[in-house]
Formats: sequence, C-alpha cells, structure tokens
Amino acid sequence: MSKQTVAPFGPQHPVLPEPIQLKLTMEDEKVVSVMPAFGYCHRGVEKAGELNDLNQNVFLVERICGICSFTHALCYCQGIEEMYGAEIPVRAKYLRTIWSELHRMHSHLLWLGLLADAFGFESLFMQIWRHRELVMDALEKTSGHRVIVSTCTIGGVRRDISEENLQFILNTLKEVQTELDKVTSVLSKDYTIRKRCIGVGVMSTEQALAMGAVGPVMRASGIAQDARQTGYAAYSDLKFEPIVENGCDSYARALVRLRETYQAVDLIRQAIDKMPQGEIATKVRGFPTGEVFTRVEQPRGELVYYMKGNGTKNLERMRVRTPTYSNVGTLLVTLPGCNLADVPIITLAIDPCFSCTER
Amino acid sequence: MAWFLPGVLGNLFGGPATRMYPFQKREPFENARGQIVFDGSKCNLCGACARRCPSAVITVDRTARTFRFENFRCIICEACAEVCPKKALTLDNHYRAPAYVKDVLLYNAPPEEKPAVAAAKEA
Amino acid sequence: MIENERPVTPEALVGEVKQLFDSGHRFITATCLDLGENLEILYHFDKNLELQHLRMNFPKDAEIPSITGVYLAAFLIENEMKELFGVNLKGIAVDYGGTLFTPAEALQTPMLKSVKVTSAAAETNGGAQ
Repeated sequence: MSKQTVAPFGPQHPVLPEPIQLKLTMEDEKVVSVMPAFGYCHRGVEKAGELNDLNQNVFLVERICGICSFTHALCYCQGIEEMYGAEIPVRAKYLRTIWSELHRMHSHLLWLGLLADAFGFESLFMQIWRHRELVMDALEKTSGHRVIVSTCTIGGVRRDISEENLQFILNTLKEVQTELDKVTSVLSKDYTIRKRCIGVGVMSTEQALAMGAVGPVMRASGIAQDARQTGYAAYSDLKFEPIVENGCDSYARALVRLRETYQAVDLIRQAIDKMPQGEIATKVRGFPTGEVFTRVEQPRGELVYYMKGNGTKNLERMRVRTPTYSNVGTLLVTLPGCNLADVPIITLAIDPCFSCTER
Repeated sequence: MAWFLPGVLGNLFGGPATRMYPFQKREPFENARGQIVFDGSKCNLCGACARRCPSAVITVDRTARTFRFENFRCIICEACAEVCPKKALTLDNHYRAPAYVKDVLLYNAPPEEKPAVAAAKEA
Repeated sequence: MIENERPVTPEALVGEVKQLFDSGHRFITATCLDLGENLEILYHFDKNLELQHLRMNFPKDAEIPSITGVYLAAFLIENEMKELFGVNLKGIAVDYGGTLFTPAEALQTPMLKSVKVTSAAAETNGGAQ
C-alpha cells in the first residue's frame, strides 16, 4: 500500500483561464480522487441583478464571463422579451446570430490555442491566437469593442452592420478558413498530439448523461443535442446539424470544437446571405411580471436563465446556470485513474470558465 | 526536409511583423468605443444619463447645477449618449490615455436665465 | 408559472427524481427563491430538448433530502443553496460545509431578501430594494 499525497493543481496554471484549485489525492503518479475548491471568482452577480434595473442588468450580465459575453446578454434579453411577450424584428435576430457565431469562433480558437499550450506546443499556440486576432478585428469593426460587445439590448440590438462591414466579415472568414485548414492538418496528423489526447479522460455515454454534461463534452460522447435546435434567434431559418463524435475522450472533444468553428463560418455566411432589411429594435414599455426559463447555446455548452419579474423596475430573481457549472461535475468521473501529466489536458477538455461558474 | 525553406527565407528577408508602437500607432476603427466626451454648453441637467448609467459614473445635482463625470469608472457602454436629449455626450473612437491620477470631470453650469414670458409679465 | 411544471413535497422528492432518472432525463439545475415566510426550490430536467420542472415549497428551516444519491452532479448546486440561502439540506455526497464560494468569516446567507446590500448604481438610480 503506497503512501497517498495531496497535490494542489492551481489556482494559477497556464491552461486555466480563471483560477480554481483541484486538490488531487495521488498515489505515486496516479490520481486517486479529486476535490475542487472554488471561491476565487465569486462576485455576487445574482444579488446585484436584483438591485439594478432591467436595462442596467444587460451590462452587468455581459461581464459575467469575458469569453462568451454576448451569449449571456442574448439569453437575458431573450428571457425579458419573452416575459413582456414582445416580438423583435427579424433583422435584429439575424444580427444577434452573426455576433453569437463570431463569439463561438473566437472562443474555440482561444481554446485550441490553450490546448496546444497544455502540452508545451507554444509555436502552434501563438499561431492560433494570431488567427484569432482576425476575428477580433471583425468584432471591433462591427460593434466597437473586441470582447464585451455591448450590442444586445431589450427589444433588439443597438448597432446595425452596414454592407461594407458585412463584406469585411466575409473577407475575414475567408482568411480564417485558410489558416484554419493548416491548423487542422497539424492537429489531426501530429504524432505527439494524438498520443497525448487519444484515450485520455474517457467518459462513456451513460456517464455523460448521468453527470449532466453539456455542450461539446456531451457531444463528444455521442449524444446529439444542441440548444440551437430549439430555434431561438435566427437559428430556425438556418440549416445545421449538431456535431457529434463517438470517441468519448479528450481528442474527440478537440475535434468537436474544431468542426464547430468551421460550422460557425458556414452559419455566418448563411445568415449574411439571408438577412432581410428592416428595423433593429422595438420599444418595450411597462414592467414585466411572471417567470421565464430560457436557454441558448454558448460556446461551452447550454446556458440557462431563470428570471422572475414582479411588476417593478427590478427583477425579483435572476438565476444563471452556465455550462461549466455542469461540466465540473464530470471531473469527478474522468480524473480518477489518470496520470498527473494528463490532468491539465482533461481539465482543459471541459473548456473551463470559472468566472461563469461562480458568478 | 526542404519544405520549410520558403518559410525560413520569407521570415529572414521579410521585415518585422510588428508595428513600432508608440512611434507608429494604428488608427482605431471608425465606430470603436474609445471614450465619452461631454459638451457642457448643450447640457440641460435633466439627469437622464445618471439614471441609465450601470456603473454610477455620472452625478447630476440640479440645485447646485453641477455635473460630475468619473472618467475612470466608465465602461464605455454608450447608454448615456443614447438617452441624452440634447446630444451633450458623444463617443470618441480614441481610447482614453493612461494617467497617474484618476481625474474627475466637474462641470458647473451657468445660473438659469428667467424665461422671457415671466420677465414680460413682471414688466 | 412555467410550462411542464408540477409540485412536489420534500418527502416525495427523492422518489420523483429517481423516476426521472430512470426515464433518461438529464439534470439541468435547481433554483432557490426567497418568498418571505417560505423558500421555494425549482428543479429543472431535460430530455431531448423538452423541459420538466418540479416545484417544492417549504418553510425556512424544514429538512430537505439531497438528490446527490440519484444525480451526483447536483452536489455543486446543493452546496450553493445551503451556503447562500441557508437551506437545511441533509446528506449531500460532497459537502463543503458552507465554504464553497465564500470564506467562513464573510456575510452569511447573502441571497435572502432580509440581507440588505447596496450598490452604487442602484443608489444613483433612485434606490432599489
């Protein structure tokens, strides 16, 4: 019986965008059990949501997470509009879709860079982040900010995208796609990457369902479910299929995210093609009452908002459940039994975003 | 082995890939969010901007006739500029410069003039 | 009221949740609401993009069983409800003892309506509850 030691993973580690501590109980080189320790990013957003008024909350909610910020604002505005019973213009729905998919691209490119960094492949990490800068330029040119775009509002969007900017987006997509092809050939053929990712962090389909995994983690274990299939924003008019892999390991999760980036390029092209002319926002009056439960597909998985209004300018309750909240539970299943060197890759494969988890 | 040679030669003779900042600055995009600019001559102290601001940047005091803008708390969301009826707040696309002290803009409006109708009645 | 919702009592909770697990539902999350005298917990489940909700209303110090025996993934939300709302939950599989998000010396049960917190934006906005 060898001695067990407790090793801390985190709170600072290059693969983690935000701090978390995983207390790993180790026996020699193998992990026996894991206990996550949170609390580094808790800011009390749900309480602040009850103090601010409805319009100020849009800016609060965008800043829960930096990488997936537009989808938070989108889910919030969608929920409030459902409480009002308001219908927003079709052009606003398409514009929201374009910005959501641009966010998906920049988030997945960020993740692919971190994956390369996780096994020390720094030059690939820098190259992928250079290609990500093209997407950030597209976001800045159309909305004004690179990351927290502040364009969603209750009743529609605040800025329109002109024809010239739409052409800029299409040119950017062409460049990004060319560069992405080179990255794909490295990720799928490189011997080291395959050896370190295939068979690492295996989670079967039944375990994924029981642990409540969402997003690419769930789809890499063979479950074909995507919150975009519910048809919010303009997704009911666009043609796409959820991307599924059957590998159930970290390599499958990487492939799902890579293929989703290509799918996002295709979706933006479809949306720009079909977008009608028209208004970009409607006015909503009065204060909402009632309860609403709404969800959107963030880059990391399914984001869920529950809101309750009581007829005043403040909300009674705002509950946010982000995808990493559910995916952290899967670490209790995938980490035991692996080597210490595999811990960064398995933790990264769930695409952790702890500022979202702790709000 | 020679397949990376074009890349090597291109990098050797291609010139620098980065800009010589701060001697060469990139011009920001046209509608980039830089900073909020306040024009005191147009303001009528209605206070609508202070009610909309999500980070408590603006304080308007109608009795003392002051307008206070804390530049370093601003998140440049543009909600104040959208709601201002006199267009006294506008967006500039150059990002605010760093500073050693967090300065605050304090504007004292001139005292209110009596409307011409009331003056005519008095006469 | 939201669609596809049904009420449940604390005694019948684990049985209902077990039925949902056996029929292949996925646990999404749970929401806790402060209604003044009572607390209310809503459990949300999903199967093939169709939602199911359970609503449970109970007085503030009633003992609530944990569903981590059925869905281990619920340990995180149950710890959070115990810490931020003061729900009296028994038998959570991985129990942090009230130190999940906030340290032991911080403000206790901050999410209850009786605990007042101010924010600068709310003050300039003419005040809020």
